[in-house]
Amino acid sequence: MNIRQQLVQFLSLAYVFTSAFILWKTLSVVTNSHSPIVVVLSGSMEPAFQRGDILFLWNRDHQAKVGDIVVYEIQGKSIPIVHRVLREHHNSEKQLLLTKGDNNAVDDLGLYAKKQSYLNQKTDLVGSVKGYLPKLGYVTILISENIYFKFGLLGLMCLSTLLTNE
Amino acid sequence: MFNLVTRAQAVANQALTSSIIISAVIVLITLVQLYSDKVWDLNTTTISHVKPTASVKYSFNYGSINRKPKENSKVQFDLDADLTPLFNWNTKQVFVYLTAEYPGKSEGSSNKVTYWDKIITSKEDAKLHLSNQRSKYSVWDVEKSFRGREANLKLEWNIQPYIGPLIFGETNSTTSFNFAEIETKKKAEPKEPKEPKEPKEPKE
Repeated sequence: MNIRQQLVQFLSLAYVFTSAFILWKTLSVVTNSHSPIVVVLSGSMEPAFQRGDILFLWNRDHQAKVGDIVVYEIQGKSIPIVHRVLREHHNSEKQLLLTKGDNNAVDDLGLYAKKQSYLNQKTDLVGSVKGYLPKLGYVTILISENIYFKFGLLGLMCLSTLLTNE
Repeated sequence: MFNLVTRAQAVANQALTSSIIISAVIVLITLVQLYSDKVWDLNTTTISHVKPTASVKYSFNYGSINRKPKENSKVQFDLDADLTPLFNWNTKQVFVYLTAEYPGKSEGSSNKVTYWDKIITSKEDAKLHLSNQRSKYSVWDVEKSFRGREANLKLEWNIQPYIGPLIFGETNSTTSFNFAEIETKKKAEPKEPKEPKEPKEPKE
């Protein structure tokens, strides 16, 4: 239980966090997306995507195609939305998209900002979905939405650090 | 030496590596199977008897901005397709959609819209025989009207897997049609007609 040992432990913890951060940011640069991996939060794309599924995004496509599943953000709303491209209209400069959730009855006009009738491919998209991993993202939903799980996990981590310090 | 944490770490590492390897193998087998089934070369599809109709709408939910008249297009069509090869053990669902592609105003511009789509979740439902099917969507253009342009209809598909990459493709047959035009060229009535029902809000 000397100070040196504790410092080493602190360093290794810092190492874990920084390497995770570096990995995330590298992925961000490679995919050109500010969040290259997202967790599905809603059921509007069921049965394909359910709550807690993990999606891998790519944002280097020049244009989106009809049928692509894209993740977009609306200004003033914090939650990114995963929906399918229903229509696209493009000229040499820009591309306009209309999206819809497979499980929804109507298109997304009601989700967009007021008076907004299309998404802009360049500015509104976070990326288009390329890969799929089921269920594993549910952990993050549990952590962010279930207070018992969050503190239980924290408690477990504290306990394990105490146990290693024997 | 072997305390709780190192043991847990070893187990987690082993689980992670094994599951990555297993998923990679599954994805590889799926792709090989799809290639050997020649799913990117499906020529069992026919789209026929396309009957386009047009109407004028004044609601924001039908593309109208500031209550200006906007031409909406619908089609009726016959469709025969056999999508059973798209189903293998890593297919969770197939999403099929009927698209129409048509040129825009300026050079290098183009448009593609969806008229109809369907979620297919089992191999038994993958044979489609539709006659006089009405389009699911009322479609409008960025322009005020479709101007009777020619459009190409195509049936496209997307496989959503249990695990792995999303896979896209299209069937071989294409059918072209001309957008219907509004017959009476009279001016839009000043009194705005009420839309019968506003669609409900979509979920996020």
